[in-house]
Amino acid sequence: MPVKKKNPIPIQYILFILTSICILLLFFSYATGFSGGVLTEAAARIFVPMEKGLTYVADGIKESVSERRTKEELQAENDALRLEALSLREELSKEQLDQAELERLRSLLALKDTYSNYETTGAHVIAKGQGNWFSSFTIDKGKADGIEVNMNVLSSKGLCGIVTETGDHFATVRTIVDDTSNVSGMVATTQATLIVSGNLKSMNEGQMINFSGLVDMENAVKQGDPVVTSSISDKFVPGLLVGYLTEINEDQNRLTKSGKITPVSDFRHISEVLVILQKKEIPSQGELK
Amino acid sequence: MSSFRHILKRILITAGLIALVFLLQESVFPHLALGGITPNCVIILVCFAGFSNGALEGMLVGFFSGILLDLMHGQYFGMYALLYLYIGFLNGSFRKFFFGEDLKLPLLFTGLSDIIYGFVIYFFLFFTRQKTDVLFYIKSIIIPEAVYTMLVTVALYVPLLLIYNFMGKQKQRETKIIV
Repeated sequence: MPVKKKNPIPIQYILFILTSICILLLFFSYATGFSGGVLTEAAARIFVPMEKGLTYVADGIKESVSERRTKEELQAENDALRLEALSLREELSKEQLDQAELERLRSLLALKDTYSNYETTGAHVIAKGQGNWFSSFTIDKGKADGIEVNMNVLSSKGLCGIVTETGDHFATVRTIVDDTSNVSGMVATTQATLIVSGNLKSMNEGQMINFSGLVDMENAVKQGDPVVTSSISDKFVPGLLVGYLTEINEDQNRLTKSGKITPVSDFRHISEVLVILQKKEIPSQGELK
Repeated sequence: MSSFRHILKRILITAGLIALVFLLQESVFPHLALGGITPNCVIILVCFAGFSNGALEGMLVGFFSGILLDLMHGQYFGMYALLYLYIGFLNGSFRKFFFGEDLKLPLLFTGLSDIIYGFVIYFFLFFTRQKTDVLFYIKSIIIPEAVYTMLVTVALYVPLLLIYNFMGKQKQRETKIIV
């Protein structure tokens, strides 16, 4: 055993002092909403460029790994793709019909604000934080690029999350599948509103998120109906696609329904996102932070 | 003042290690997730610092790693600092079981620490929000994370031991590993 010098201050005192500092910090941040301020900015100055570099390297490796394939593999993939192209073509013709119907319904509803109208900026995901318990990530754009807290974030397919923290050149995004996330949404077909809540359990079991509070007396809402952000949401701009209804159950009160939604974004493999540079903020109690 | 230079060197190297495991956890292992689970790299360093150099170093490494995590993901600022502070302290208190050469005990303690970490996070951030299905969280988050973390510990143990032996040059120790 190496002989250790006697410490001038007993270890318990140091433990007590550091514990007190932590508890004070917790109270202070709870009371003032402090989350690091200048210190966060300083830490970000050091780590964000490194995270960017690492992500760049990792993406490079992934690409070179996925590019290295044999002729047989390529042929097999080609066959699979040809089949997929067939089914996609079929789907496309269906979609075109749907699109025509959609246009017609949209004009009927005077609902012209789809998210193609919002101004967006692209960003790379450079880090994923908070381990396996929460779902958040860091992007490589921040205040300097016009990003602010509460701006909505999209993946290539639909709604992905919301900006919760910004620095000069980074921003933290909490995804909609995070266990603490709540989004006010509506079923696109019937305009019935519901609350979309991220849930670690549903996500883990079947890559799904929960919804609740759906009022649907006429049983008009069906499985597979798309869910979009609602116009009464106080943080999300309306009309962003969240996902499709997968499971609908009647609640015990027989008034509302709850169930599960399959989100359109693939939250395990997000590498690029779009941030909507337009905010919707109406103070209300409806949506939890 | 050779002892001052020695301490400064240790602080700098330890800071570098904290930065390194932070980057590993945030930007490298998300690409290597197994079934959506990533290992807890920070806890590996905190445990290692504790059981190789005692409670004081474990506490300090834990506290500052935690502060870094809090800064970058400030949900409840001070939460990770408090948690890792105690993990470092506990592992440091068990120092007398370790002689640096045996891999089994450090592995076990890192795994256990990660399980404790999981339970604390579950209790304070999930159970308090009426998410009561403990078994689910144990089965699909806490245990897989601990197992993956232990696997990564095996890979990181020798490099960490070498770095720590380099830092503690004055008290030369053998770097033989017994598995």
